[in-house]
Amino acid sequence: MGQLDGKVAIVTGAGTGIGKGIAKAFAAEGCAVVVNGRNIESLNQTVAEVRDTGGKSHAVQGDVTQEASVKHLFDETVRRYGRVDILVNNAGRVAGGPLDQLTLEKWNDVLGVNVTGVFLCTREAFRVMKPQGGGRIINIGSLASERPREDSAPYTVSKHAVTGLTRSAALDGRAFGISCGQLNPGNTNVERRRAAGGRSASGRDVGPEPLISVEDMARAALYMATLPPDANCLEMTVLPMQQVYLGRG
Amino acid sequence: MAQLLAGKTAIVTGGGSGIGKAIAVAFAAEGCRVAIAGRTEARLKETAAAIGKSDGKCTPVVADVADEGQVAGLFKKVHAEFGRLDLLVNNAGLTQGGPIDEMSFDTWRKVLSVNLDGVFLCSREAFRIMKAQRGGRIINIGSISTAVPRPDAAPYSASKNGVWGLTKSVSIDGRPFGISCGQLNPGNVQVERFEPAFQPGETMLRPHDIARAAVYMASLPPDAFVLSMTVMPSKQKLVGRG
Repeated sequence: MGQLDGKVAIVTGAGTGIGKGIAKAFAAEGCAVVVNGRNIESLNQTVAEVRDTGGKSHAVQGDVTQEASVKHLFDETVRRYGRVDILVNNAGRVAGGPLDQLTLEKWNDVLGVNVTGVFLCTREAFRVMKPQGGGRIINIGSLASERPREDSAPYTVSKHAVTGLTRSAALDGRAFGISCGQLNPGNTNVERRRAAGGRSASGRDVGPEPLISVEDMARAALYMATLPPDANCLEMTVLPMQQVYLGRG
Repeated sequence: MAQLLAGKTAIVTGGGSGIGKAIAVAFAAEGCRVAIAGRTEARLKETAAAIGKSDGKCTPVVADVADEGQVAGLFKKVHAEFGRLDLLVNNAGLTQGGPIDEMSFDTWRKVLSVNLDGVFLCSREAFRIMKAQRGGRIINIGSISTAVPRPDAAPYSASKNGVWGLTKSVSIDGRPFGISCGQLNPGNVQVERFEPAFQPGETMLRPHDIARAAVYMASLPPDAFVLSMTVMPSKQKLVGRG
């Protein structure tokens, strides 16, 4: 028996990385998972991996920054599975650079995916979850929700904003049985990181850094998702033991 | 299914009741050998017996975490018996408060001595063992009062904010030695003892759901850790202004 039997989840940015890991972990616990992202090939790959292990998954291609695309994602999910119990706002963009050299385009691009995208998906989720009597939203933040790397202004600002959205959604959802929590991952061993030899793309290059596994990160999201409806993990921060973070710098 | 904490050893302070008891039970169910510490022998024995009945291993040790000598004795005994210490859960805590102008210095001292001195004393002993064995994990039980206080709870809020400082200090000081330290902040939890601070109608978490969070924290590989996490009733008033 799975811990999420009968539940329906949407995971954005689920073609790769943490999103893919979460989709697989949820599906392994009996959850039907709709995976969303811009790249249909990688979404299909996630769906195939879930189905290979007997799980339920369906791909809906889309862009979280586009209002109509987000509406389509939720419409499709409700049409196919009847409801949305869990939304994981995972899709995100990492980009940065020295402040004086940042283009407005880069700024808007990062803020669009990381903030506007989370807003649009959260709004659609509220529209579905309110009438169904409740639901759970899990936002993927970052260590940058609390402390910046050097040369990471757009990313840091966007992840700080996600914390604001998490708290607003938790407060506004309270009356409707909708809970909202945030998972802040440290360096995670995703494809992008591996391809870059462990280097970060969101700030100044400090060389290879220690990484935490996608599976361990997905287990954190699974804990959040498997709480009973009257309990909420408001925030949690998971990182590699040796990641330079807590001290002054 | 493989047990998540097979072969590990742990000390859980305040393990005779409430969250500490639930964590001890959950750790033991995952194959961890657990020592529980507390001041009330009867409660410790009850918890240990309950764990023993379901094939877990639990050693009760009577100790007051606010007493330097007793803490030293606790760790010495457990180290001698278990041979190593993988996990320390600093859970023992007191909730006492009242209007600040009516509060005795004694109440203040009592709360700070258990909730803060106790965490320091136990963490220091754990550090001594974990440094020598090259690694270990410390989990501090904080509170949502770390972020937002209740009215009339100055010593408690101050102590839990102190714990957060200690969590971060221990974490950064432990890094070179493979010792990690993280904090679990529970909201209202349904425990045995009467909580005068709870208001009528407040919703409660089950201790088991907090214990599952602690199991996740404890089951991470040594090179990963949870720095902080907050688990609360969905409808508990916290994120808004009040």
